[in-house]
Amino acid sequence: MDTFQNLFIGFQVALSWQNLFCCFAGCLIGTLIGVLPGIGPAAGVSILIPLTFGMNTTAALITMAGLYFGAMYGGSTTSILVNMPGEAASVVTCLDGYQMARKGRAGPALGMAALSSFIAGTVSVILLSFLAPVLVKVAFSFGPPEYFALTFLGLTLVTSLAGESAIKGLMSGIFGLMIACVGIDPSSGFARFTYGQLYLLDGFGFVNIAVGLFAVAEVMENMEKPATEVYTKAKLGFLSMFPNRQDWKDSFGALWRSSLLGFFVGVLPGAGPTIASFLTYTVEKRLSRHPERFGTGIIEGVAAPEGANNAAAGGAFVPMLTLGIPSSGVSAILLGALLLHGLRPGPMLMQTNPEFVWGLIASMYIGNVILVILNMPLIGLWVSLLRVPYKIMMPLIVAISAVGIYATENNIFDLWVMFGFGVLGFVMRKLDFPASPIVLAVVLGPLVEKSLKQSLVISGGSLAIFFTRPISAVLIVVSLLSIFAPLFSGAWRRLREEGVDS
Amino acid sequence: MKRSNQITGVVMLLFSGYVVAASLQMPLRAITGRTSFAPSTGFLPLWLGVIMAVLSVLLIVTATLQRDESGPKAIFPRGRALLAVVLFLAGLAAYIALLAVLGYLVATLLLTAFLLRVVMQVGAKTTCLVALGASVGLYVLFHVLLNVDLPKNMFGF
Repeated sequence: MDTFQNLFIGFQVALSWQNLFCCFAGCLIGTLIGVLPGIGPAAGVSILIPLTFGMNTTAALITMAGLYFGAMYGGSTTSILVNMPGEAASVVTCLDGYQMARKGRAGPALGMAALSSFIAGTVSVILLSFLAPVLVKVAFSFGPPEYFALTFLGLTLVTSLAGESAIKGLMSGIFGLMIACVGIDPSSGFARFTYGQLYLLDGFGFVNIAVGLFAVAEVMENMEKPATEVYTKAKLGFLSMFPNRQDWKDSFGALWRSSLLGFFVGVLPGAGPTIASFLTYTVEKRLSRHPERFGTGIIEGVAAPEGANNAAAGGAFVPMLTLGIPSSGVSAILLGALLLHGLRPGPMLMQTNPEFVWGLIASMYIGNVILVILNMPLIGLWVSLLRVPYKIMMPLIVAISAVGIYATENNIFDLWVMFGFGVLGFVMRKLDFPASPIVLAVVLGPLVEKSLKQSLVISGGSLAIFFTRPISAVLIVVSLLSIFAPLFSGAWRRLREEGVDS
Repeated sequence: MKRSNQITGVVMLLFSGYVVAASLQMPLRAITGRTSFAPSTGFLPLWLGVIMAVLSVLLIVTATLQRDESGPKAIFPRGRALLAVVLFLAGLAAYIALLAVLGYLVATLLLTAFLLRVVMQVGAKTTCLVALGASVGLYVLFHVLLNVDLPKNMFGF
């Protein structure tokens, strides 16, 4: 019953003119970012952080959440029309979406992408509303070992799932934790790795790192790619976008499975919308009576990944709002924004700032409605925006990133940090090192260090404390499995292949 | 990828060696007693350095054992693309260095114009329009509307 009362309070907050406007603006920018292939949700949210400093925290987070969901909605447009995903979570949508467009069914594909996003997104927010308060109750019994185990799980999952190589993912994560060490150690007051630079006493600054690694590096990477053009001249009338009865029948199973599976993958620390979309597509293919038709342009191949990535975006808010632990790159950035706005994420957040938490959750219901409206009738507008060449977009992205970074602290040194991490991010992309573990580790770093040290003080230096408490034991075992399973399965596969070869 | 992974592994191994050495200079324990264990400042970076070293060795070993099916492949951009990346970085570095001298408005106008015309090779007319629009637009948004104190030149803008 409490949930309904809280939601009522939340809707009162979210329906204020200011917050409605912020939600709309976030959704609009998010859809734009999702549609444009040159820039992803992580870059979008990090550029937006400095712009929201003038707002109150609720409005700021509503804008950013809107942007995140908007990018998930918009990402499918280019996947379907040009076979080029707007962001990573829409890569799978290309497989069937583009084939549908080639068969002249671009309309229903885009329509189903928007509607499945709406359905799964809404289901996921409903689950979030009811699950978050339950998880908060559990979280109150958590001590330092549980928190360490949770952060450990988040870091190991994101590293082992992020890229091709588990070793590289882990190296990114460890490097991120090292970055988080720079600055004053709060437990002793000792300055680490600051080299006498006053600027470094507070560390590198989370926004600078995120904008560098995502926005600047993305710009550099895109400069090499040839310009893309929208060559589909498909007429996209409003009515042509509605899927027919057979489409709905075909997609029904995919819709509810992607909502649930996507949500729970999103909740899992370390997994995110991209993994959710890949996973549901695979599951649908396995369950299908005609798996061979996947990839030839069938509608459930669009409904499943598009539903899942939105459901996962909602699920990601569960650990973030209840435990203060981000589950993916973008939610790490959102959590960083929360900290910058002076809120302390964790189980107390729902009690100390109920208007904020429930206002944000309520805005997600509203955001889903806004987004389906933005995406269905206005699709023609988004497609025409794709004709703005990247040549013109790129300098604008750089200029906006730079002014945003400067505005955060009024400090030119931050721009050099952005520059440095931009170069680093570019080199990492080239060498196949994933960037999201770094951001996650930078945000989690202080919590990792604090909970690890506290646990070791309690146990007198014994690591056994992480295995004698049931919750932390389970989390640590799962984390260790996630690190070692890919190593062993890779070795196993190699052995088998070599066996076949010989 | 094989060679680049080996090089990355060596670089990261050296880096982790440095982190370990630097951490050993920091206090490792807050209280030195027989029963109490209180890890201090150097504790986490020390272990991070050790783990990173192990991972670097693993990377070198796996890269060395790997069969390089793809053959030597150009990972980093070459020719025109390399030039674009270098020009972009040079432009951005010059922008950051000159921001305090030229002031926000002039520096941003020059940066966007440089990126449009030289790096992305957009036509002169579009360059002027977009660069002017972007720099003035951002100046108005941040300085006038959001009250952000942007860097000024000697003439006050």
